[in-house]
Amino acid sequence: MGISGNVVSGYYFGPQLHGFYHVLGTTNYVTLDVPAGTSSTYSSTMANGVSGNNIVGYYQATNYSGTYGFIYNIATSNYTTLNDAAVSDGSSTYFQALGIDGTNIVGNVSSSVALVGIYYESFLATLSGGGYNYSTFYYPSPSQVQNEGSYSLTNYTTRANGISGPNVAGYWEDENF
Amino acid sequence: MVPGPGNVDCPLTGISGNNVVGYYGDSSHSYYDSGFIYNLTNGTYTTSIRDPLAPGNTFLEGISGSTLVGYYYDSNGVVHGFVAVVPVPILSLKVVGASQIFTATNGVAGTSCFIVDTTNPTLPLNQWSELSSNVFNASGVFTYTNPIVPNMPPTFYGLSKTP
Repeated sequence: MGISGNVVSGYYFGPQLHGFYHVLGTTNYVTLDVPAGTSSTYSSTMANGVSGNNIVGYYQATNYSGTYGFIYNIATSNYTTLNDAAVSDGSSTYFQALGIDGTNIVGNVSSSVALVGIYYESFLATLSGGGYNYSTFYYPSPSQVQNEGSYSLTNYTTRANGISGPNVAGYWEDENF
Repeated sequence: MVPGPGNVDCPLTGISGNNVVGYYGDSSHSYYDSGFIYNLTNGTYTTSIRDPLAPGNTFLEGISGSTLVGYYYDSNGVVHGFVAVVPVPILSLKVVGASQIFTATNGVAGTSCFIVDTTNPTLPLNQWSELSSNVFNASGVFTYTNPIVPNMPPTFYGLSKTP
């Protein structure tokens, strides 16, 4: 869920997943279904963050090719897909947009280590000129190594859920999680 | 980590300005999840933020200014969203005989709050003096009685989350 001014974003089960936004002080709720994640029997849109007229979230494609982020613009009713193939784990793409503040978007992407599993790192995407600049980050530092048998993860899962100005909020999971 | 014995797992879920929100396993509510706000400026927590109708977990998910959003499950497992406003405590003062009676209302039950005073209201709040340390009761209220000193200079009073 997210809130910006008097706009609340979120999602509901009905029985499939649908995003929505609601303007506080009104009785209106608008359902959000990303076309690429919606068919006559399937929907998988989760709206998470909102800033001004932009709502971010993610959906699973109807062909199960992966999970993708999106931006929905309230003023234009347009959806834009967010993804970065470079972070694909090779068999699928996992890209969750969770928070937005102005032109900055944060969320999670997956990476994988063979025989260890998928872990998550966070990304910061900055909208620019119709596209976006993109980088990943994690916490704690990459020097912290979690040993998993004969394999090692270079960092633990880091999830960025929100952003406000230069500050990002989220959490990370240590070895006891 | 939200301070307090046994409080566990506190993912941050949203941020607005200097306030971060999230939820945690609240030891004061049988380890059901409650929301919290952490202020980046003064390092203080506002804890045990719960929808009064929530029988179990309350998940605080977002903040915009002083408005909070989140959700909880009712006893039938149905999810309900909620919108709340960060409570802003209000301090009032009346003189009874030779005493000043301060009453603070609209606080979060169980949280600390300080009455501070100064003779120079142009000073930043963190340079005002601590008059008393208090904890809001279950109704979000506390009172404090202060004797009036003869020849007391004009004094200004306020509430602060930090001493």
